[in-house]
Amino acid sequence: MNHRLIVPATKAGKTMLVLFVAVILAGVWPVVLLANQAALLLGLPLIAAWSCLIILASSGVMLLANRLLPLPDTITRAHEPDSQTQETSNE
Amino acid sequence: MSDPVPFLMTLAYVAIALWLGIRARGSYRMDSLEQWGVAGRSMGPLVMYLLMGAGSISAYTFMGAPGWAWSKGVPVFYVVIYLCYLALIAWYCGPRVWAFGARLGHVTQAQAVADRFESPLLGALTSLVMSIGALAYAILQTIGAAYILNVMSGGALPFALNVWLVLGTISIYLFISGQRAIGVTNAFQGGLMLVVAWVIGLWAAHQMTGDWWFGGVFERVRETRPDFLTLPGGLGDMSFAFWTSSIIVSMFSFQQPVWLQWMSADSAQSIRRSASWLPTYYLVILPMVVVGFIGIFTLPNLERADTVALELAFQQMPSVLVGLLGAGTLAAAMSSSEPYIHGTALTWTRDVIRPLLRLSERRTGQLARYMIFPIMIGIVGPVSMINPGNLIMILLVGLGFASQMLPAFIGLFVWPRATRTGVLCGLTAGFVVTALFTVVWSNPLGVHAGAWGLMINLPLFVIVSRLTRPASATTLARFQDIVAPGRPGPASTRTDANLIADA
Repeated sequence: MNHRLIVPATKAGKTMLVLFVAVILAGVWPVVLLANQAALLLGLPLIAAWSCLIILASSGVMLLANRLLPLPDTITRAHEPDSQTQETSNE
Repeated sequence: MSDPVPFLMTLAYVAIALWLGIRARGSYRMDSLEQWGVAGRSMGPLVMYLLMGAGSISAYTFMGAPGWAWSKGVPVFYVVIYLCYLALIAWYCGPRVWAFGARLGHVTQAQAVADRFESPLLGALTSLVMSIGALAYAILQTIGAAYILNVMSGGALPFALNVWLVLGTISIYLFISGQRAIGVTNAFQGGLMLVVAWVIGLWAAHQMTGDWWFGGVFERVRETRPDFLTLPGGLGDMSFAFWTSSIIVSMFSFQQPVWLQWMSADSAQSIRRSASWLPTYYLVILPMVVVGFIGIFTLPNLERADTVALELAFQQMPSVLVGLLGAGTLAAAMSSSEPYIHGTALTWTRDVIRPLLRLSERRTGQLARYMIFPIMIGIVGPVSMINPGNLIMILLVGLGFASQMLPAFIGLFVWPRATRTGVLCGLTAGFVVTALFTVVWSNPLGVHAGAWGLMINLPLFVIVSRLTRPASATTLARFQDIVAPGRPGPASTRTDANLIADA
């Protein structure tokens, strides 16, 4: 049995991991300092606009990942008795 | 009560929720964990979107968030950000949890932990640990719902009666339809909240500035209270450290109802689709926050910050909008209370009582739905009536404790070497630190107590796991088939889920 950490190995998987982490870092210190100004953007405080941007970015990376990393058969067909023999996966 | 319209609208909401919840059962028998617990794994992406959205939007959105905006300003937006990150977690973990259920027959979170770590004790501990925060949360939401009914009735309905009115309503449809009722009522509540929040927010902004957008409101805030537009906020208490650690701790709190939502999906793809769009739901918070900012100018002398939206509505809005706000706030409170009561009843029966009494699966399924009554009558109702002042403290300790379960989930999803001894050691140390840094020395250096707990918990978990024996190869293989299919393998069959780094 292999006990090592499970991490992405394909290029698409690594790219998406980087994008997910980038979105998370965008909402915390120190990146959030960029938005910490008493200025308005589209009528919203900069931090509020930044939060809306994170909403869009979060949905954006997930929608992109849906295209690049389809779920493996072992997950999508988990309810089927013979699915354990399916091992095709991009994830 | 000078105008009965708002109260009647609020009562009409309760009646509709009750009707929808009862009808949700359809022709299904509710005496199995599969049906009462996870709705026969039948929910499509739209229902999942509204279920996950409404379940995570509590009365906080209609009371607490405007209150934070009124008293602190933009620090309130940390909630939007961590909710988006919870959607990222749902996108990754949700389909895998669904597959645990579909292939391994799991229903509850603690069941998966017990199976993965080959330890019914750890499963029972997970159940009990997670239910501390869950019950505190359910109580807080019940208090919020009872308070709304009290306000909307002009004080005619006493608070204590409202507690039982709310719990009674929830208990009827929860007992009859279980998770199906939660799905249908939360979908209705989720849609209602979206409409109510935007109608109220845009109307309030238009009343104040003449515009149908929020720019005029924030221009005025910038001129008079610019400190409300930046961290650490108007009260100066949201440092970058607390902002960051609160987001991190909150995004890794795997709550039991969230787990059940994932289990209830009709497919793994439905979870992905709904999670992908879920962040857009959290725009519901923006207009209610604006209402709080408007209150800075129109209601500067409030005694309680979290009443700002209701006070503003009663003073300035037509009765139909007041009724909508009452119904929306009640919907937010009930939609958050019911899944936590349901989840606690389910996990206590499945993961604590069943192993203790050696019940059959069928008997466990029959017992689970009755468990909501002792939980409501013995815990949620009485504590809500007392309305303890330190409940927020209990909730914080509970959530801090829940976040200390993170190693168990690391073991489930990404690290096969994690052992039950490692999880138990990390959990114990993490809980002690979290409790101390919540009760004795609150959030030292401005860092969330749960984050301090994790700083001790995680290293200890890794060290002890490496020194103790992992679960059997058979068990790990069953989980690995789901979380990392095809791993390990020769180069020709390597997949993206293969390992590349040694822990």
